[in-house]
Amino acid sequence: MKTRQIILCSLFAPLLLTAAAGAKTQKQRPTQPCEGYGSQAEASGCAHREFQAADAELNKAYNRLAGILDAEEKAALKEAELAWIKYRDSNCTFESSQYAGGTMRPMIESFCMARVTKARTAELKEQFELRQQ
Amino acid sequence: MTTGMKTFVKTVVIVLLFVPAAAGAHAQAQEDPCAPEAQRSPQLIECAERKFKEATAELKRARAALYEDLEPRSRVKLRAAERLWLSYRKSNCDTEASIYEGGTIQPLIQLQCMARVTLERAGELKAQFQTLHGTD
Repeated sequence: MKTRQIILCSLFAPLLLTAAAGAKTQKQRPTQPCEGYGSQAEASGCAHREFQAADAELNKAYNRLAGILDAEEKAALKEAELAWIKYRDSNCTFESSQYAGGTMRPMIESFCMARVTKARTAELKEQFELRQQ
Repeated sequence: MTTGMKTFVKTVVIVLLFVPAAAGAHAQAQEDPCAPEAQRSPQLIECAERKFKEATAELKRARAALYEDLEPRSRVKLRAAERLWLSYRKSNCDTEASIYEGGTIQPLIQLQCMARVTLERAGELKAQFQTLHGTD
């Protein structure tokens, strides 16, 4: 009886472990706003639109801030923005290079660009608020 | 000496040993530059310096962990991103602090900005590390 139990357990344990591991992977996979698209190309297009929307928001925040600056400050802001663009591109190239050769790479890059762009928009908005005080 | 006296002397010695330590700890607590009641400029600057140092240490840890598991080609990419990030951070925090040009608060704002941006970058590197390892 005991032997039978042990055999049954050892038969099912790997199955249970695999199921648990699967559930873990599923849970840990980040939920992206473009999930549920049929093909990878569609998801990539969606991610790119997500970035474009973030970029439009950034432009608004940038122009609003630049609008209240004098010429010297505006030049400094422009320099910071150019430096930021270089960092963003380089950072997202690195991030998506982990998927090099895969069909997911363009989507990962767009998501990265969107995320970093949103963070920059928040930063510029904050700088605008500081100057309004 | 009687036993009573001995005990008394012992007690006095013990008390004398601990009083300076307790006083020292108290003074240290008062001098904590990041304490909520610390409001003088030198304290605020000292606190911001400490926060920036802590953020830098965290960034270094996150970068080292990520770097370790990368292939040589990816390491080159990460180093490039890191160099460009440094230049963005400087340029951004100069701009942010320039609002207070000439004021005593300018170096404080500069340091606070550096600490904030550094922490954000550490978070980004940590997330990249986690993605690489498929863990949360």
